[in-house]
Amino acid sequence: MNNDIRLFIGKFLDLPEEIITVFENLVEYTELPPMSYLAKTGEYSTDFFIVKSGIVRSYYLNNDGKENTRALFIPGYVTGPTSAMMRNIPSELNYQTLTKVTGYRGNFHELIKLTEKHHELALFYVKTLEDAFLKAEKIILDISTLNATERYTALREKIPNIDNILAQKYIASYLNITPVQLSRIRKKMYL
Amino acid sequence: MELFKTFVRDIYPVTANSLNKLQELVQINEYKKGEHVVKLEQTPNKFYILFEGVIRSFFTDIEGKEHTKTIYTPIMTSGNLSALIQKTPSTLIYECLTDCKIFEGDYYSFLELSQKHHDITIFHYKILQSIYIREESKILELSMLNATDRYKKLKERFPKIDNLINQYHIASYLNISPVQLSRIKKNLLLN
Repeated sequence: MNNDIRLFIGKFLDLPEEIITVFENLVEYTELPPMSYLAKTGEYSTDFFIVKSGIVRSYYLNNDGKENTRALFIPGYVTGPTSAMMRNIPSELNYQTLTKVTGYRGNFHELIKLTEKHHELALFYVKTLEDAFLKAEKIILDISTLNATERYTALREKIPNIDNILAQKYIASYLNITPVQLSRIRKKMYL
Repeated sequence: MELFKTFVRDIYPVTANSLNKLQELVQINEYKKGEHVVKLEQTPNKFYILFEGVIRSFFTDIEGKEHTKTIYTPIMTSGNLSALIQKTPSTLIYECLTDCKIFEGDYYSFLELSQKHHDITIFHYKILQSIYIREESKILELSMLNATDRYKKLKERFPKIDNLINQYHIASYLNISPVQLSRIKKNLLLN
């Protein structure tokens, strides 16, 4: 296996060689075409997915059948219905590739078993949970305090080519505004 | 201390030795209504386990409006986790909405124990999992549910919440005005 997993782990912790190998053996390199599903609402999922290239989104259907984009996962992010897997319930969201996506898929429950076997892996899992928590808390803060223009600006900083990858109606839903409002915001920004 | 032992064992059956080490970390403290358990701009070093009373975390935005982020009731871990993880000053205030009894301990000493003892690491990540699940649920609620449904969810989690804290704080937690909250409660009563 190339350096991808080693680099991913290295962002969190220095792990001994044997443990890096354990994690490398847990995950499998995967390529997915655009608009394919990693997980679907109402279905039990077993895998987490580390994004290497491409973009994944999570979304749900509201009562009118409209898609609401909830989160966007870029390279280096871990995606998949992790909180549902932790609770052993079906996924609450759909996880869909927006572009061709490459990355590493692993069985979540196997990972947990391995954390019970290897102390270092448990410590690594702690670090990934801390990271996931920090990301989630930031989203709550942004939803509560930033206006749509600020959130759109932050989105374009995070994913510079987002306007080419995700249709305007999906960006609008991600920002919790209507496409008309988004169009107005873009006009004000000379886009 | 029995309460603390039960709290730990309910999360993960750590060894007797680890349980003793964890016990040595904590001491019970009482706070009066209105006291700030974590103060603004203070760089925190403690974790908290709430045994009696109600705490809320909140911040005040540029316009002077209060946003209640989380409501804690027994038995929940509390404290500004992101400030602890990143070792930064707290941008949130943790305020006792009633008199409170709290087990508190040094977070970094706990991390040392987690570093040394595998069973404590598992205990550690099980707590992180439930905190992460809570944040993710809040994100979904804020996006998917209207204010009435969010109020209903709050009552499901804390049936006595209306008696415990005042309406202004509940409204702020739900991201609505006290007038809107009053209307929602009236509507629910009529139905």
